[in-house]
Amino acid sequence: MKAILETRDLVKYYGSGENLVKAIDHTDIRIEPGEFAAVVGRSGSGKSTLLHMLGGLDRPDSGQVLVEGKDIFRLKDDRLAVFRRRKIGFVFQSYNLVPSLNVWENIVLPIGLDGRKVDRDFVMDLVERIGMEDRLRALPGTLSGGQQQRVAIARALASRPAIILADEPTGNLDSRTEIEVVSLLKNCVTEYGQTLVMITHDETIAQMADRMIVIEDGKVVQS
Amino acid sequence: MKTVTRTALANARQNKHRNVISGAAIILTTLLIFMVLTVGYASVKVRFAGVNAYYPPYHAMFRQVSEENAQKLKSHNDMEEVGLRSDLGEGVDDDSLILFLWMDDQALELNKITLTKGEFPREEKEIALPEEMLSEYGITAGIGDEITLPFQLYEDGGLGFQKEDTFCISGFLGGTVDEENKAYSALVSREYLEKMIPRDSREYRVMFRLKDVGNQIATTDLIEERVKEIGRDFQVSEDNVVINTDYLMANYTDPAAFAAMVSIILVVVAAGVLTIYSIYYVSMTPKVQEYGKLKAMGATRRQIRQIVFREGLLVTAAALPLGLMLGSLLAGPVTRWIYRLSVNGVNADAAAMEMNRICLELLEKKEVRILSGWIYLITVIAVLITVYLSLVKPMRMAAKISPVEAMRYQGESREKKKTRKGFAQMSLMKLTRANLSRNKKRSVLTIVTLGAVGVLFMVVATVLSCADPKEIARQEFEGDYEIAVDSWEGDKMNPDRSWVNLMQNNPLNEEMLEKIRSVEGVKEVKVKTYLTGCLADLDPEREIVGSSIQGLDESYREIVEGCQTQGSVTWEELKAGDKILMSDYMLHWFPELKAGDSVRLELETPEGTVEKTFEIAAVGEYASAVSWANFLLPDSVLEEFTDANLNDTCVIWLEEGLSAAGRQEVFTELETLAKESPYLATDSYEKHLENWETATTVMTVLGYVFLVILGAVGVMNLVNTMINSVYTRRRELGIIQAIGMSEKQLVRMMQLEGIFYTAGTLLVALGLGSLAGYGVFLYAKAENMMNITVYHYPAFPAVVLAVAVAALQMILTYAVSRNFRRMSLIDRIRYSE
Repeated sequence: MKAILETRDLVKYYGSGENLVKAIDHTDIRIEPGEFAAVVGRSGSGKSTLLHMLGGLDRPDSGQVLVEGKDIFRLKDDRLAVFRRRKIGFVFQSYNLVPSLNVWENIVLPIGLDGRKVDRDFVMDLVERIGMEDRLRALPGTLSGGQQQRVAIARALASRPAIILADEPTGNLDSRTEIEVVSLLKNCVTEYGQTLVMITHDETIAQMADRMIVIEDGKVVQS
Repeated sequence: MKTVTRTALANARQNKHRNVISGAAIILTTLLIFMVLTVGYASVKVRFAGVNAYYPPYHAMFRQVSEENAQKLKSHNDMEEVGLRSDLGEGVDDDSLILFLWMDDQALELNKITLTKGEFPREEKEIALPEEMLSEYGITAGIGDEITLPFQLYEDGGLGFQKEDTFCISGFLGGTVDEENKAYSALVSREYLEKMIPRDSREYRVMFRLKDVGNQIATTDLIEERVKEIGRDFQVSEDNVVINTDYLMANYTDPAAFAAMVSIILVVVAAGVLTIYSIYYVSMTPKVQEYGKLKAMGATRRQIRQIVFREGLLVTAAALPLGLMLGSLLAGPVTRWIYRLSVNGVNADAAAMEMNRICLELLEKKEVRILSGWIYLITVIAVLITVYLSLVKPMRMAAKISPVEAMRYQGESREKKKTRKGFAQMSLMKLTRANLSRNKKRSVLTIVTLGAVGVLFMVVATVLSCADPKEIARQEFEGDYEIAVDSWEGDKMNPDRSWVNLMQNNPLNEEMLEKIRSVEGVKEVKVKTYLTGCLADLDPEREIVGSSIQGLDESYREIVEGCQTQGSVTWEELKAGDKILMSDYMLHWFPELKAGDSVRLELETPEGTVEKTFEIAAVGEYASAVSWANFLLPDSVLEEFTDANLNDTCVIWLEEGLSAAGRQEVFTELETLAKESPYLATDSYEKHLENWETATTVMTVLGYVFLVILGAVGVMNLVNTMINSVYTRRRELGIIQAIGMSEKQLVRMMQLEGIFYTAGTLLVALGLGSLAGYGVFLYAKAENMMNITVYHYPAFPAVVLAVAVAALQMILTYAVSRNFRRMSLIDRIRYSE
């Protein structure tokens, strides 16, 4: 089967001399379509940098990131942005909702930025899934952490990207909410046939994944 | 407290961009206050210096003082300096006037008499005179040469028999000589005076400066009072008291000038407060969490307030000296430049021109110190007050933050709104709108502060555009040229100048008018008649105003009938002779007057005072070009009062299509005609126009320079808002980019925000500014300021303002977005305050 997401000899260093940090050090990974991969590792091991590379947020020093076989860093910045909003959905640790927009607006923002019409039924379906149908007009400031993260997940899914990249999405949540959110994410991904790559340092969460990728000092030690 | 200062210092370093911007605003505010004060005060000082160089600097003069009293006055306690002059007689010559006089050293000084050569007369037969006088007599002589001059001594209030004497020239007098009237003064010695005029017949003019002027005796009125008091002590009748009004008027500054300066400074301080406050307010948002943390760590409210205040003070400490330095460097060149502007122009008033020239010379020779210590002090105080006032609210805001609130702080404080209606579909435009409405207060504040400067700009622009020199000149001058009888009332020295005297032998007679009409290039001539007297019931002593009446011919029918603002009267009704049209200007003095009232006039005619009661049939608003008089009547009505010739002004229109040189030629010819009588004065439209062009150029340039600097203060505010709106949201923007906003869209969003601020600012500036400008125009018109009468919308300045604001906005957006994009996307996302 063809990999949906693949890195080839990916390198990203920060600093120089004694301060040189090998965030990603000649890393090769392959992720199949529909897969749920958990990236684990200690803090500072290079997980986040890897995720940023996968999502095209940052450019590597060398190597390639292939999405559906296509080298994304060959794209110019603006093309990359368009590519990103169509193919990839992000979920961050600190929710990062736009404070001036209400729940609904936050969810449909990526679709709007892409200049597309909102598929109301699909988005309403998502909203029901995250259990926020009563709070569509609420501003993010009035929501709890778990609620905000659920909205963030809906936002990542709304434009139906092929890949969801989640950077410790449950880092700020208590353990009960944590399981809830991850289950939601996993179920959605399964239902819509998407691929999920999630960074976590939580064993329990990692166990829920199809596969674990362990990173140490920028290198994949287990995959 | 040391910790507080250290924290403030650390904060100052951390909020570098905000402090650079507020520092720039403080520098500009300092510069403006300093410049307004310095240039204002320097021009007052230069004017004083110029006045002292131009006018004789005595405060007053007593005439016909006896030898005894003159000596007593010399040692009077209240006198600072006393000079004596005594006139002996007049030289005998056909067409010139030579005055023989003696002056003591103080009088020479007070009259600014100088020598070009030689010395003042000491020996009995010595004489000092202007060199030009010799050529008038056809004599060539040098210092030490003897000359014989014929003269008549003053005797018993008149001139005695002709005498002759031989003098030895001791020196030539400098200064300007009135060559037009051929009037010369010749100085003789004290000894000669004593020999020729017996002690009892000697009469002195005592010129003096009072002590304490400027301290205890501050106003011209007080000086006059004191002078008259001293005069009474020495039996000097009021007729013989001459106040040196030219000097006093020129020397004592109108309090209105200080009021104007103070109000300009208040405007600057207000703009400064608004701007600096807005800068601090806007950039307070990202600091809220930090202050909350400080509080959580145990900082008291007072300490937090002090941290904010000291940070502001630190910035001021750096910015204020810079502003003062810049001001000190610019003050000299700017003052000189203003005077150069006014010297280059033309002023109808020769004395004013000469004054300007002297002032510029004094400035260029650096004889007047432009910088003064107290201005530095006032500026420092004003700026500190500005900074303090701007910081009061932010200080309170910072101190009020509770630690818990701070941690949850999401931008706008205490936003009660929990939900938002929102849009079903999102777009870049809607995202921008949502963001702007989140910070409603901040957006409004920025627009209002920016707009306020714009409103000021529009008001000044309106005044300047209404002050069109051509129009103003037209308002006060009819036709192209004017020959008028130069009469004035109440001058005991020149009783021949009174109108009732002049009308009996009116130089503007039919013969003269015929000569004027026959000058080539003259197209049309209109004659206005005039009669004056007093308002018998309202103001019999003419303390406020006289009852001047202008008589107009039939051609003014439309103007007379069209200018009426109250009541209504036709030309025919006026011609009947019992009704009169009154100037609305009279309402300033007699607000109780209205159409329908009766007014009793006592008019002076050669046949005696004529009493007449008129009904004020209408009040009219007519330009001074039509008449300066308080009442208008058809000329036929005026003629009823007297048989004398009432011709007062002859308005002359030239043929159209004459070249400038051609016009000048006609003017010269007309002027020659007018010179036939010393009682005729001339005036031209060109003179008025040039005069106003100079005045408006200086005003326009100064007005706009001031506004540009004031605008720059406001721009600091815009810069801060733009930078803040982007940098405090860098994380949010980073996230939006991560979920799919392209760089192009980001720039576009910044542009949309910029357009919003631009549009808002312009709406306030142009909308409110145009209204306020119109209001000021109405006020200026009502108060007769600068002869403004016609409203002109300042279209060009409005366009310039719009283009400038838009361009500035675009440049700012470009610079900010460029700078912002240099930061990598990852850094933006990772950034947390």
